Amino acid sequence: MGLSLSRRLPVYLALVAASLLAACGRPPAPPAPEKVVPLSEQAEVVPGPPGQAGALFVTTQPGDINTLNPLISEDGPSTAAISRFMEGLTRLDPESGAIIPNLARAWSISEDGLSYTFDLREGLAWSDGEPFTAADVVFTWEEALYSKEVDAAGQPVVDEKTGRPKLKFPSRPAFFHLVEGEQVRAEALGEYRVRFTLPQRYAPFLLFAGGQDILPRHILKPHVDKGTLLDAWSINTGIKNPRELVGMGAFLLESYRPGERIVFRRNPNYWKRDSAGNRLPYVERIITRIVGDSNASNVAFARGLTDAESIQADNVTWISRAAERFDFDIHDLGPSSSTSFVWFNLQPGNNPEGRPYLPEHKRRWFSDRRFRQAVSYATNRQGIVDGVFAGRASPLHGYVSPKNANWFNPDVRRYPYDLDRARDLLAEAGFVRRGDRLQDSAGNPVEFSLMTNNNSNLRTEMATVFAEDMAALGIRVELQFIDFNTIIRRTSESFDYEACLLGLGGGAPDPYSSKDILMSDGRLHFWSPSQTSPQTKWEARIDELMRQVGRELDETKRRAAFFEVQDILAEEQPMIFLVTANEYVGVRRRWQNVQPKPLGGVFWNFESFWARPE
Amino acid sequence: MKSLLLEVYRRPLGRASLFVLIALYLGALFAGFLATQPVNSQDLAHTYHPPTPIVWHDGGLAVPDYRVVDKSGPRYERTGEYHRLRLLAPGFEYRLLGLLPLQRHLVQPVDPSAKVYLLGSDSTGRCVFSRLVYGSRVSLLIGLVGITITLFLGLLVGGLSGYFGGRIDFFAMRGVEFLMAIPSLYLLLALRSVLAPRFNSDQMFVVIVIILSLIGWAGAARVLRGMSLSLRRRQFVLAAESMGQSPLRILRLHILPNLASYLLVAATLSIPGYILGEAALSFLGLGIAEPASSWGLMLSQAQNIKIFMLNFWWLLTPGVAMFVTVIAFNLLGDVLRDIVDPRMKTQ
Repeated sequence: MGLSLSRRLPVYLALVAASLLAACGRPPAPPAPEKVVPLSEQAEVVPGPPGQAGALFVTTQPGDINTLNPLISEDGPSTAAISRFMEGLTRLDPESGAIIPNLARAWSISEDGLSYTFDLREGLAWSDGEPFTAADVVFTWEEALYSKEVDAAGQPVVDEKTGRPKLKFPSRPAFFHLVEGEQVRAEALGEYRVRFTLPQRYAPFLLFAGGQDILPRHILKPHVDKGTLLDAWSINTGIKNPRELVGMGAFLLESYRPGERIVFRRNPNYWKRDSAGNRLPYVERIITRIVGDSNASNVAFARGLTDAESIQADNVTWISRAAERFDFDIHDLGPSSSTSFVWFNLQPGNNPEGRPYLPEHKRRWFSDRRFRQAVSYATNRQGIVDGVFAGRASPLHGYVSPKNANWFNPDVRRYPYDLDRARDLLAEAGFVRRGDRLQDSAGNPVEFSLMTNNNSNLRTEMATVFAEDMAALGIRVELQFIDFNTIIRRTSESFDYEACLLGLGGGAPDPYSSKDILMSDGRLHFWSPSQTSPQTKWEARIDELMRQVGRELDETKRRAAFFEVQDILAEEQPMIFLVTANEYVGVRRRWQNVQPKPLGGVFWNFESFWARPE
Repeated sequence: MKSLLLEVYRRPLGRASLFVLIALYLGALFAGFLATQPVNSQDLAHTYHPPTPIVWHDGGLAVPDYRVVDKSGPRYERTGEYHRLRLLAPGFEYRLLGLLPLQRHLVQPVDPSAKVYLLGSDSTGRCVFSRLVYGSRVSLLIGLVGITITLFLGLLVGGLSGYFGGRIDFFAMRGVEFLMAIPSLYLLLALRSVLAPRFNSDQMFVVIVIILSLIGWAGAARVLRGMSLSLRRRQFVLAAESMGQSPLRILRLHILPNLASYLLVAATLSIPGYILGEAALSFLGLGIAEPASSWGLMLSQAQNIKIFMLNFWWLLTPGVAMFVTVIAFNLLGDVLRDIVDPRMKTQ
């Protein structure tokens, strides 16, 4: 045995060596030479002093990506990664919020408001050098979004529920772009002109359709034909074949290691140039390290490991202490678009077991406008700002955050902290104070439970402050800190709750995106969702105004209607708004051309960021 | 019993831990008297206030006055002014031992608007010291109540099955094994989240004690069964049996007294488990909920990164309190074991 082993040993060694050689001996296939198309005449010229190309930009990102396919991406990390290499026809002005040209250089709207014609920039190329034309836009709409499912006989399959043809690729953008359930038609009128035809007038079309990422026909057409479009561009594509991810964005994916890092390289065919005629972007590579949570991400920035970071309001103070040592600035972008609010359960009727969703006397309190107004007067918003947010937030009085200046109604009724007004309103509504407790006219002590999600320390602190504010009125609030999914179930399915404190993130640029929240038949109409017909007169009025906001094309009329919606909400207080946290972004000082704007944030002009290579 | 206490008192370690525990429990009992502020009174203008030391100033006790220098920190500095303190002075109303309405407190500022934060304030400007003494009620009581239930059940099941043996023993022990096979942390989490919507925070306290002790009694039953099994074969038990004494009388007069020393040691040594169990549950957000206060809850509210980075160390004092309590119980348990079982002497 020993002999045979020693005799075989050289053979083993040779085998091992051969496999090793095979492993290193197969050099990676030399990358196909990159096709770079010269800058088009119609390339966008970015004003400002020219910079120097070649720097590395390092960031961290809490949480890994789940997909690189814009049709199915839902989470923040995936959407952020996709937005690096995909672009739409229009974008928003970082200052005014107006819709400005992006891939389209101009557009016109027909008299009747039913057809939109876009003129594309001519001579642009995808990141792999293939030309960008109207065919890509039509492909995105007609084939990627609106392909119909066909059966064996070639007949479109009809969805039983809606009675409409079933989509081959049922994706969120496809449903999002339906106009009252109907599809929009796109057709090419020449190489660089596209016409969209709408089934009816729809005011936010320009904004919503302009923001849709345009997909490369030459890459994704085979996936459409095979029916695998929704499986294309998965994270496996990112790992094994990043060159397949072709886009019009400033960067393209170079490599991706799950749970470790994402590396983006500059797009050599990008369609913007600086004032000196150099092609943008200046940044050569973006290296994004994937970390566990936003705390870890904040700590990495505070230790000087990354170039930029968005910072939670209550972390600003300690991070700013390292500003001199690691040479960074923290930009205060003012109120963010996120809001926080309390609402009472106003769901009428009984649960499946035949009992009312909440006791009759409590429903009577909650549906009394004076009670809600009294609660609003007794809420110490400035106290929350000072105490919970250490001054890094702003009191919120209405549905729209002041950040969204275009749609923010500054004259809504306000409810400053005023316990006397609150007590007067309660007395008027028939409540009486007995000892240190408040009672209604029937003698029931006033108390309710308030729930919020347990993983947000800012929200639980706001809830404790709110409970203490109510105690000053003699109202007992029992706090329930439970997990987010339970809250969603209880507020949207079982309606087994009394009051809830939650928040809404990123305010949409168009008020019509709020229709699910504000209209009485909306699924997110928090206080009483999916009503078959409006319960109250004021909800009916809001419905009417929101329909106007959806149909009306004239900006001033839309604004007037939406301002009235905000007035009604402020008067009725179905949602008692608390505060909006301020937004902070830290950037290392070596970066030039950083021009933060309240609306556009810090990274609206990321393609012109530059730094001297370290 | 008296001699046992005397024995404990004679040993320095025993004496020290006894004193610490008595002080802690007295503090919990008279929390309202010790507290300087009501447990939930917020002051949003004084969040994260640093601890105010008690100093001798101008011929009397006083605390220095602070003002906010940087609201966003928040950062405070002394103004150089002092607020005079009075001992046994009237303050907010509370109920002594839950019954007697009283207003006297150990320390109160002469000027009622002056801020006395013996251990600083938390994120909504509540006094950490007052919350700590109120919270000690939950954290300290939970151990006593829990161990009572555990030992009662353990003694009942273990003692009886050891004494009677046979089929009773078989079924009781299989039941115990079944309980021991359940992964307790998961059971706790599941029970807690199922029960959460049905109970408010005061009732939740009771629920948690019951959950913790219902899981914990199996181990004690195992040991007690072994001990009563061996006592059962001892001559004095056999003698009592042959004299025709009833099983209950034998259990009460002959077996129980022989188990007492073990029970005492086991109780003292397992109380810390309950204190830490409550802390773990509250830390996971599943234990005592606002606006009640407990050490575990206070610690869980201090797990924010900002608190470490800005060095708000006083928010971690519940951890220190827990550490002291657990050490004191363990030391006392060791001393007790040395006394009742000299052969196992460790020193």
